Amino acid sequence: MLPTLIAGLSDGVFLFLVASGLSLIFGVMGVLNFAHGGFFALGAFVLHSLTRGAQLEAWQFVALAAVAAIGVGGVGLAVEATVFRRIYHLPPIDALLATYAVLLTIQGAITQIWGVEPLGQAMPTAFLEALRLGGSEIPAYEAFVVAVGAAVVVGLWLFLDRTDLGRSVRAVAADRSMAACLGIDVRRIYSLMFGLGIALAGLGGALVAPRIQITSGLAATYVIESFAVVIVGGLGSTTGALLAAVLLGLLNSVLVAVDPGLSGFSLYLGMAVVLLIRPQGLLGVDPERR
Amino acid sequence: MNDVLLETRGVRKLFGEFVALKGVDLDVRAGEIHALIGPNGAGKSTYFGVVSGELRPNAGTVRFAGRAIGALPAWERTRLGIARAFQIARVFATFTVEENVRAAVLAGEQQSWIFYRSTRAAGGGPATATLLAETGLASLAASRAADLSHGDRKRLEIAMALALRPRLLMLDEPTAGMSPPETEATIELIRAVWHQRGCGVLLTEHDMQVVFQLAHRITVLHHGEVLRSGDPDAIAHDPAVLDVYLGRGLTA
Amino acid sequence: MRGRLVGERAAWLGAGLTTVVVAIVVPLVSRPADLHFWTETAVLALYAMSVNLLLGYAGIPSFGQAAYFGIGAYTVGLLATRGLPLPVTLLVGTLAATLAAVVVIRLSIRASGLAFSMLTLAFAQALFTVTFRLDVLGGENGLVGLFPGTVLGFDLSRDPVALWLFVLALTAIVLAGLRLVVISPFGSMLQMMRDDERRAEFLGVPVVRFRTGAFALAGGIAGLAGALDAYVLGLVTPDHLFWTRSGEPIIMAIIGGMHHFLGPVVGSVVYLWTRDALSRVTAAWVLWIGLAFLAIVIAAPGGILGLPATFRAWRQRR
Repeated sequence: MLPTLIAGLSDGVFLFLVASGLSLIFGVMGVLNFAHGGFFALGAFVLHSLTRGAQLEAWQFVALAAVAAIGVGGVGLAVEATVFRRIYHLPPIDALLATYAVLLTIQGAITQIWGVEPLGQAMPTAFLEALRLGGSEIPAYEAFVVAVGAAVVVGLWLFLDRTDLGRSVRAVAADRSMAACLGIDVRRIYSLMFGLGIALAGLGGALVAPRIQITSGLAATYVIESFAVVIVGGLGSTTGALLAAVLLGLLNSVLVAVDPGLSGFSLYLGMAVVLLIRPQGLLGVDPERR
Repeated sequence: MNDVLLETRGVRKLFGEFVALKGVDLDVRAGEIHALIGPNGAGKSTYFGVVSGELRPNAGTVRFAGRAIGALPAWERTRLGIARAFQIARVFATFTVEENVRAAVLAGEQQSWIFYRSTRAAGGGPATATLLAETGLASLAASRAADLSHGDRKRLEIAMALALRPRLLMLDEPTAGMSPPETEATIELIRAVWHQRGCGVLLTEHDMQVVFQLAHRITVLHHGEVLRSGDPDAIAHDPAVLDVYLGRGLTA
Repeated sequence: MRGRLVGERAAWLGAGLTTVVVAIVVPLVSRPADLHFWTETAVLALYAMSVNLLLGYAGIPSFGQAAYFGIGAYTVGLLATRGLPLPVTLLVGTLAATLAAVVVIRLSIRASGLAFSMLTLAFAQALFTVTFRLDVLGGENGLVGLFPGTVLGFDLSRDPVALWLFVLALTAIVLAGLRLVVISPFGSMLQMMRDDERRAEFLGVPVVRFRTGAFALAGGIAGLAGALDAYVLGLVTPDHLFWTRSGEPIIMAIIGGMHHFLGPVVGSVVYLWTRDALSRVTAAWVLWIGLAFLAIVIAAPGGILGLPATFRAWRQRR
């Protein structure tokens, strides 16, 4: 039972890393970002370029994953400055389509740079071992990923709840024009949150790299899965995204334990059920009560 | 003349904690022009919403022509004969004046479902032309609704409501934001419409001159309750009403 | 009035003549591989037209039309391999897709905007993941060996020209029907609902039923396109249901122009031709498609057919 739970949790962490950034960006800027999956894939490719796919020491791997995340965040900032600033004012569906165009562009750029052959990232030896916990064995990498997820959750919470900058972010999310009147530089907050959200996606991509084949197709798969997460959690609610990611990750690993053929299905099932019963998502705000 | 067309009893509407309507009893008789007045926030727009089907009341009954309509969706109420115009005129901006009215005519004849021939072949032309002439919009028939002046847009919305051949015409602030000549023309239009069609009219209005020129009966709403209901003369001299309007001089 | 009626007749006549000319000229100037390309283009243009009925005309932001496209294709996959004739399989595919669309729209009627887009997407993706794992649908490999057979004495399986003519004729007939729908009272009401749905309801129009009708119609046509696509390709795979197949017709419609009737047709020709040409040169063709799409969404939201209007607006601002 415990290994199933940990596997589910670590699946949930990947979902959360992508979905939390997606959710932050939607919460602050009101744009649902298809391109997010592109940055996720980019994280995996950048890490591969940094490591050349080789098996490294665990600390080297972790450090390079962080570098990849920051690098992808930097690309995100550049894309924000050149493209996203032009689409914030569009109606939600038009903005969604524009981000779809960005997703295609990133996918194309990845193919241009890294080619079409799938790449493989070796797992550091230390992460290949199993930890003994209460009589059952848990893959070390999954435990590590869960720990990273927990660290990100705590870090985000501290940032948004305990810092002045975080308070400004929440002010902008709540009411943009009011925040501007209070002297908050809305544009700077936008850039910052976009960069942060994209860096989280890049981190997710870097961390998933050793577990999968790295192809540009990752972009399309993961963006839809993280859409499912933010929808289930409630658009704009980062806590909701966390809750949904964990729940969906667990549901998926339980379903897979029952029948491997059910992998992936739970996401869309969960998404459809939640939208039908509670269209605003688990922790979303009912638009009629705003 | 004295048949009750619209009858509401104990209509309550809450928005969260806020009580917008505290139990409104109100009758509109067939063929009368009935004005609903009251200070801002009195609940006039909420009441309009409840009657037309935009909002669901939390309690109370809404009856129209003897039938309970409180649970019906807005479109069914419209088909029973309640047509409304909005405070800020809502017309289909990318369509021409003629197309707006014709769509309303076809909707009123329940022909909007026709999908196998063009709108032009589907009919409604003569009725549309009559309405455009009646509301003085004939010369603007080919203009896009988006390009109309504020007053013309409100006029167009009245034409669209009339196209539905209503038994009760609900006008939310028909002269709001109009110049004096436009206001005068709108008063004339409403009077002419009432005269020719004999339909009941329920209107809200801030301009007391308009109210007293048109209304046969007046209901004053205050804090979500009916303060007084009666003929214009009685209302104009009612101390409680004057108190609410705090010396603003009701008939001035 | 009379002049406009004559103008409309001339337009219908012109469209008919153009179709006939295209039908004859394309096979004359094309090599077999190219003819196959144009046949596929006609199918995808039909699909993009159905998507634009929702997006461009009715303002219903569905992001899951691949579900109905795929249902049409898989219906052919299931029935054609069991020896049923082409007309039956096309009919059943269209009906099955229509039915699925009705079920989905009834379930998602409370959602609007982005939530609606995501709900339609969720249904399509759920179908995708299921298909992937069902043995009866061939799993990952899908169903192959789908042959259209003989229609009216023409062997569509062996004769690419006959298949081209059949697909083009069917597409043209459906487009003519769609044109009629768009200019009918039903069609104008859909566009009015796009502008202001609440207002339409206060005309006594049951907007939910209208939305359902539009969604069912679009789903049915997407199903027909999917069914035709299965025959043109000779196979159906889970790829027919993947979410990018919902996105592609939207790209086509936007490139051509969402607010012009034939925008999706223009868009699909331009998109597929460009993709075909680019993919001969570079594996990263999607980079250039993405950039072009981005430029259109931001700078020329009216698409190719909307360029004159975009240009006028641009000059007025100067």
